[in-house]
Amino acid sequence: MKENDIAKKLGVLKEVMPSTKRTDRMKVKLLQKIDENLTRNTSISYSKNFSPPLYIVFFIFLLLLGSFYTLNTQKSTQPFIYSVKIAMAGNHYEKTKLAFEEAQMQFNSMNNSNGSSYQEVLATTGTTNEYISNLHLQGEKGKYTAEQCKKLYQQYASYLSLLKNRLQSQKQQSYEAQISQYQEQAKSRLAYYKTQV
Amino acid sequence: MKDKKAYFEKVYDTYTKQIFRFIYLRTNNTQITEDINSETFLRFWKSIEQEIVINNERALLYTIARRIIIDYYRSKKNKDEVQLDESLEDKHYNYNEMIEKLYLDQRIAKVYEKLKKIKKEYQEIIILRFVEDLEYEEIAVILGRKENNIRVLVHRAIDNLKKIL
Repeated sequence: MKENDIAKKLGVLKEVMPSTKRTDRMKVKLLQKIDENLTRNTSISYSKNFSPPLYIVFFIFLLLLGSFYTLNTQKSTQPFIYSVKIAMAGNHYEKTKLAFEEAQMQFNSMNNSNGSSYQEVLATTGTTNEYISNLHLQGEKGKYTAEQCKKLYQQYASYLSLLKNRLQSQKQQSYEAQISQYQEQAKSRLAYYKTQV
Repeated sequence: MKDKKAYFEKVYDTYTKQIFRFIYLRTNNTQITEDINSETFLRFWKSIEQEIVINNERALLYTIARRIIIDYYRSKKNKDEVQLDESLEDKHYNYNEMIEKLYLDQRIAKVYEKLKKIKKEYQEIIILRFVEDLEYEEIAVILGRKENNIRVLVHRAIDNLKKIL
C-alpha cells in the first residue's frame, strides 16, 4: 500500500467538517471576545502609560495646598495684614482710611446667614470708628486737609447707613444699636463742617 | 486595528474548518473542539496584536491548536478518547440526506476506529499529512522536529496503518 492509497482511504475523514452555521456562530463569539479585550486593554494601557512628570505632580500639589491655605486663612490673615498696614501708615488720616477700607471690605463680603460675619464687620467698623473719632476735623498741616477729613466722614456716614439697613433687614437688633451710636457720633462730627461753611 | 481585524477574519474564514477538524479528530467532542478552536484563534489574534511576524498562518494555527490539545489532556487527564459524539452538521435533513449522512458517518467512524489503533504520535502525523494535506516542512514546524525526521515518522506510521486498513 502506497502513500496515495493511504491518502485515499483516509480521505473520508476530510468529510468531518463543522457546518458553516456553527463556524459563523463561533466567529461572532470570538469577535465579541476580541472587542471586549480591546476595550479593556485600551483603558488599562492608558492608565498604565499615563505617568505625569514628578515636577508637575509637585506643582499641582503646591497649587492645591496654596488654594486651600488661601481659602481657609484669608479671613484670619487679612486683619493681620491691615493691622500691619495701619501701623506702618504715615499719619492718622491714612490709618483711618485703611481701617475704613477694611471695614467696607468685610461689609461687602458679609454672609447674611453667618452670625460671626456680623461680628467681624462690627469689629472692623468699631476700629474705624475709633480711628475716625481721633481725626482732627480741621485737618493737620502737611498730613491731611479738613476737606479730606469731611469727605471721609461723609463716606463713613453713608457706610453706616447701609450697614444699619442691612442689620435691620436681618433683624440683628443688638448690632443695630451699636451702629446707631456710631451714626450719632458721625452726625455730630459732620455738623462741625456745616458751621464752618 | 481595522486592518488587523480584517486580516484576522480572513484567516479565520480560510482555516477555521480545517483547524476544527484537526481538533475534533483528536478530542471527539464537539463542545471541547469549539472551546479549543476559539482559544486557538484567540491566541492567533494576540500574535497579530503583538505584531509578531507570521510567515505561515496555517502552520501557526495547527501549532497553537496542538499545544492547547496537549494542555487540555494534561490538565484533564482525559486521555481516553471516546467515540464520535455527534454529527457536526445541523440536524435538519430530509430522508435521503439522512441516509447519506448516516452512511458517511459510518464510513468515517470505521476509518477513525482503525486510525485510533496506532500510536498517538503516528495518529497525529497521519492526520496532519493525509487529512490536513500539510507539507512535510509544515509538519516539521508544527511538531518542532526536523523535516527528515518527519519523513521517517510518516513512513513508520504508514507501515503501521497498512496492517490495519
